[in-house]
Amino acid sequence: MKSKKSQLKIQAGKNQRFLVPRFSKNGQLKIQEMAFMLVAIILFFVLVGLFAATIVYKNLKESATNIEEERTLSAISNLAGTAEFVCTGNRPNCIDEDKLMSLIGKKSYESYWPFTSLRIVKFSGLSENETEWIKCNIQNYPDCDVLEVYDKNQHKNEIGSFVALCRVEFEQNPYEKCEIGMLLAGSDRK
Amino acid sequence: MKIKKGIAMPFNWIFAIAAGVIILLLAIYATAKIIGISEYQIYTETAAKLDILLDPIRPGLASGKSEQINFKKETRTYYTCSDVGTFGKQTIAFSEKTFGGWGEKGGEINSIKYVFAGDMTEGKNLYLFSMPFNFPFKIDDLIMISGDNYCFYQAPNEIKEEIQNLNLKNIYFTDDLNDKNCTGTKVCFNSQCEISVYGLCEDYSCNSQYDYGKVFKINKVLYYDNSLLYAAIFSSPEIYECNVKRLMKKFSELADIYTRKIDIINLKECGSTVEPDLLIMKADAEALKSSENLYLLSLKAESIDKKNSMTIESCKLY
Repeated sequence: MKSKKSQLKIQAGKNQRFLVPRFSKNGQLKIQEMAFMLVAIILFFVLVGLFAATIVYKNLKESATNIEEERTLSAISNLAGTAEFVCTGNRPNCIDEDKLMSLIGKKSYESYWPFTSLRIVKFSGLSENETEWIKCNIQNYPDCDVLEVYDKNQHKNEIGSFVALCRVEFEQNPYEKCEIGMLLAGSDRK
Repeated sequence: MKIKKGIAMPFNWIFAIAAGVIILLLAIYATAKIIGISEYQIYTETAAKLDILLDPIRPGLASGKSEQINFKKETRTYYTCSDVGTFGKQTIAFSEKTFGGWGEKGGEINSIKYVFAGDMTEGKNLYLFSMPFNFPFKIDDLIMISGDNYCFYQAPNEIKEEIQNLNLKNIYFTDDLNDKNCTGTKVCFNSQCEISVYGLCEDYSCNSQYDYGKVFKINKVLYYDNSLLYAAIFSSPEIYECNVKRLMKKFSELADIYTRKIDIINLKECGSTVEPDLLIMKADAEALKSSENLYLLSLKAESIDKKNSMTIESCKLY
């Protein structure tokens, strides 16, 4: 009598089921369905993520621009009182034009203030178009329209503030001449 | 023969559970990350707004200004200072208490102001005040920030008046160290305690003994001149020394501007005699290593101030 083990071995040799793997078509379909579902879910989450990231990025950009503008506005309102601008005797809202003239061309100040540009339009320039303004330099000072401290040539929003602009003039004796001017500071447009 | 019954779990169930667990874990991870990022964003924005809030506190023409900022939660503000570069810089960072723990600090905001505070200030309230720093012309405004209470012991009248005019709620004056209201950090004038202030000005030209002097704090000696006294009291020694160097760098830049201004006004018959002194002081300011040499510079500043005040009004340099 043959043992059970040997019987099985004989069966395995005869039975084709043990040689050729057979897959159920129904099972294959289910796995395919599952794979498609997974891909769809991942795609859905990626799209939701992208949508959320776009909104977050837009808000971030908006808030950065707002903060930048707030910073410029806050800084410009105090600029006339800073050491680089303030008139002799520390008078309120008064800019020393001679001191400002000395500031022009000082590269170190370009990265000092939170502005992308900084210029002061003199009284003579207030009634003219920007294209007609004559930039001040040592040769034409004080017969010019705009004192440009620096301009980084970026896309900018400019904020202005009226100030008193005083300089020393000479007519028989030195005296101080003051006129109205406009301080223009640019903030970066993100 | 007993037949063992097992619960047969279809493959799609196992697959769905595994996929579900992975998706859930990913969602939790993403949410935690998003919360962390938005917290970082809020803290960075708050630090930027704090820097903006420091602008109106600058006194401009006034002798000083004060402000109190109240937060809804316990907050921490962090300050660093670097004297590298033309002007040096300071950074401000912010964080607050969330769910019993401290949130990770937000991004550091660069500031061109001169903020004198500890390395970290903690509390629901921030007390700020500012004083102009003239050396001899206006250099900038010094902003002092504190979160704790201070008790000034035996403060001279001029300092008492100056601080009381600012209406600061965290500074208390006393002549008795056992006073119950004397809480927080003790600042003693001409005696020894946590922070000791010694006035060294005994010259006839002094307005007060405390015009210049030294402050002993955390085993370190900080030398001051005029309004730098408050800066030395309220800031960490590292921030103080760094900001003093930054102030001298700013002086050096301003000295350049004034030298050029002298050339411009000289063309208009204004003869200024300040230039040589200004150039010497500029060289000394650039070589300043610590606050210890501040006194020698203040003597030069005094000499420039005297010469400037003797010039006719319209030709004054500052």
